[in-house]
Amino acid sequence: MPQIELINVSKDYKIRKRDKNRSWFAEFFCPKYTQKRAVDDISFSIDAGEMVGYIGSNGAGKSTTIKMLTGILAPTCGTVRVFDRDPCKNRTKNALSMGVVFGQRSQLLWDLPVRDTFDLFKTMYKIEEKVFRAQRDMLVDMLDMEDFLSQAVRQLSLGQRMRANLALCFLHKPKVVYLDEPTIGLDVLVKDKIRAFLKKINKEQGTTVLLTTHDTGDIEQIAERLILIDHGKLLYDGNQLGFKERYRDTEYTLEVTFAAPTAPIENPLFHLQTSEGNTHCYRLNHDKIITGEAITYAASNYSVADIRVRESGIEDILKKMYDRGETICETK
Amino acid sequence: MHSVRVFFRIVKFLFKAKIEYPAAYLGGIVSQWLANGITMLLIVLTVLNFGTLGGWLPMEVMFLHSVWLFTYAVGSSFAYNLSRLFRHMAVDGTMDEALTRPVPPFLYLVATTFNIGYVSHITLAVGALVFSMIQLGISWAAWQWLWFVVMIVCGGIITACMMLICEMPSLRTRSRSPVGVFFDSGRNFAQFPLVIYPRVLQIIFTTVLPFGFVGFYPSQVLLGKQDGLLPQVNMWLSPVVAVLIVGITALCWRILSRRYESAGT
Amino acid sequence: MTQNIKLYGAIISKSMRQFATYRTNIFAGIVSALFMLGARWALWVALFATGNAGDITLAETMTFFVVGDFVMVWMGTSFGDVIGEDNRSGDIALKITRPCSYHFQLLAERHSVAVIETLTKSVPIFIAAAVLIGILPPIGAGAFGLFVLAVLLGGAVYFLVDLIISYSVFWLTDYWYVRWYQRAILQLFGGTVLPLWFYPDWLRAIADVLPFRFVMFAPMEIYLGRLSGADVYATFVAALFWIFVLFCAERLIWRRVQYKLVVQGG
Repeated sequence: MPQIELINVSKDYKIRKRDKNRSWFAEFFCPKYTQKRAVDDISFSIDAGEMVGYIGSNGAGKSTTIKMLTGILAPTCGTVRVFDRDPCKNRTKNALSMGVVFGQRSQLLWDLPVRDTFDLFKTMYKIEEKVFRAQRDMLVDMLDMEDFLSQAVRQLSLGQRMRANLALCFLHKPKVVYLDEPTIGLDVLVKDKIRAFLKKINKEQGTTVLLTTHDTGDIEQIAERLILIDHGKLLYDGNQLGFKERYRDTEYTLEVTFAAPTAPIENPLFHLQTSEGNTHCYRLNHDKIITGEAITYAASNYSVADIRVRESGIEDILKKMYDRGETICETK
Repeated sequence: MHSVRVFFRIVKFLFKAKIEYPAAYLGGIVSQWLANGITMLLIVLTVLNFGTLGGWLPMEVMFLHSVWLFTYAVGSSFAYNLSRLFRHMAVDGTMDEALTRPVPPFLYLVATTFNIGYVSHITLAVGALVFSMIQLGISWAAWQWLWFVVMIVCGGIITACMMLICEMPSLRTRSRSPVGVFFDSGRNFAQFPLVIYPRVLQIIFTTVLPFGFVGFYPSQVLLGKQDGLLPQVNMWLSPVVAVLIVGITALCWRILSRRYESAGT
Repeated sequence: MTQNIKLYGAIISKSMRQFATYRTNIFAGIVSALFMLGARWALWVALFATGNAGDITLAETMTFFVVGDFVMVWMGTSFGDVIGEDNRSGDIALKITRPCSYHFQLLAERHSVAVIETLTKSVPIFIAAAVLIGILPPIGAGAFGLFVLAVLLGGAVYFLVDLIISYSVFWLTDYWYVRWYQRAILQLFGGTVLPLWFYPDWLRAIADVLPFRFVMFAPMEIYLGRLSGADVYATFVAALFWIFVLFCAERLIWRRVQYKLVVQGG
């Protein structure tokens, strides 16, 4: 039995249509709406202990999915099951075994030390004193929070607050944790700390983690499984390697720095992209010329100071996919 | 039971946060003492100057005004911040936060928006009540004390619910509720004996906007007065009205949060 | 100078345009204004029914409130909120360095609100009161001129008093309650809620010594003709004296504020 299950789930939003010709009175008492499909016939299931990256461009339907999983929104059609229950009807019950962080929204008591919010959550989530102590100390240790635990929240930096928020969300040993962009706006060091933490706690406590993110670093480093949606539709569901394999670009870029000012390489397989001083960037196709050949060709025919090869990563793949998605949308 | 514990826990921490800045907290309380105290003083001075107001003696008016202030403070402690939050709630994620907690969302919202500042109103109202009672030479039997408690609790409930109902439309419109003004205006009427108003208004304040039950009608029992509309019946009705209005508020909340579930942001 | 007038005009027209988009606010404003008038009317009718009003008539009292409301909306709120917010957010440093004075910006912002309040509050109240209740006209053209002059002097008194009280936000950790002090003092000594006619002698004596009555009470007495001849000029002299005193005090405190802002960095 999977922990999270979505079967043919769709979600429509009603969007208020304001008509300038109608009076405000009519607008207030009988507003008109149009439908917008935010999530379109999505199915997937997640087992206990999985670590899933949920990705897609802005407005792709990621947050809507998370809201349906947490029971905040009811799906328009289809079935959502979490712990084999309808999350909307069992919201309060599910809340006890679930943790959620919405972006940078803080759940901390602003004027009080972080410690006090921990105490509040202890009561709210019915955590036993002993379990609470052990889990809190472990989280404080893992997220390196010792030195600001007794400081008022308003004095904390964004990174410290984010770590405290994360810790709170794991305090009651939830079975599932939903993280909506947990690393947004943070510096590299804090990001690393958070990623390491998520990996570790997923391993040690078997917590299922579903995170949405725009940070390809997050995806590459922690998400074993990727679910990609765009314009509400599921595009890919599988592991990271498979994702790269499937969407791998057959193109790659060769950055050649010549020893002296030189005219562009004259070869139909080398497509000049940019040139800056003596450095030229060429786009090449794997199917027509493999990397080794291309390097040899450039090095033997020209006096070359340096050559670099750039393969496309997830970021480039995503960039391309989002671009394509937008053009599909425009032609519709 | 668990919910009640969580409620008090949250309020305890809110209080703790408030007294992190004792000077600011005290400054706020004193300002409210002054502002409300002067309003009350001016009302009493007015009635003293003229002798009576609609057949009510100055100290009776003071008693009524104190009850009105007391119930307003009780109701506002629970509802003021929340009613002002309605218009931002769907946008800033407060609603989402409340819905993902292991306690009933409404209770969570009321607890996190509880306003501790109304201690000033309550202390002032109690002081004024005691003063007016001494001046009137009132001594109560046990059942009258009980009725006093019932009156304050029911008045607080009615005030809070009216405040919430009047502001609930802003949960959807995302701007100040156009009917919110009826609360503010109606409340202002209720600080004086209803008998001074035309009959139409008295009917309105007994039915659609039941502010008459916040102070005027229940006070009649304690002051031994019988005026206004159907005093023999109405003076006992505030518990009934309180129960009714709680039901209406719950219904409105249920409809709106259902809508939120289906509509989202 | 022309620059300032231009800016003043720009701020006011900007707020007018903004407000026109909030039609529910206009509705709410008018409804609450009419409710307030009704409540006031019922209250004073009941009070006058006792027959203990002395030489004051009901019409005079209602005129006092309805016409006085035109004056009060221009005073209305306190600067405490604005200055407090500017201080907290640090915007004050920006505003002080602008080519026109900070105080002028404050005044223009306040007036931009007042213009709207006049239209949505005072005018509906006035029309409703004139039609339904009957409002007394000014005692004469000359008296009306003196009334306008008294309002201007009262405005200056209010502006200075409000500033002096509001400067306290620079020494406080929180500022939301500053306006309540200001409101309480104005209500008690200014006779804006209960005209000073109805005050007991001891309180009236205190109010007469203090400057707050110049804000609304004194102009309305001139309007109603309860103050005339030499008394009017005595009132003007007293008001001017207070303006001088308050102005000196305000400048002194503002110097301290600037010192605090510049040297201590807020």
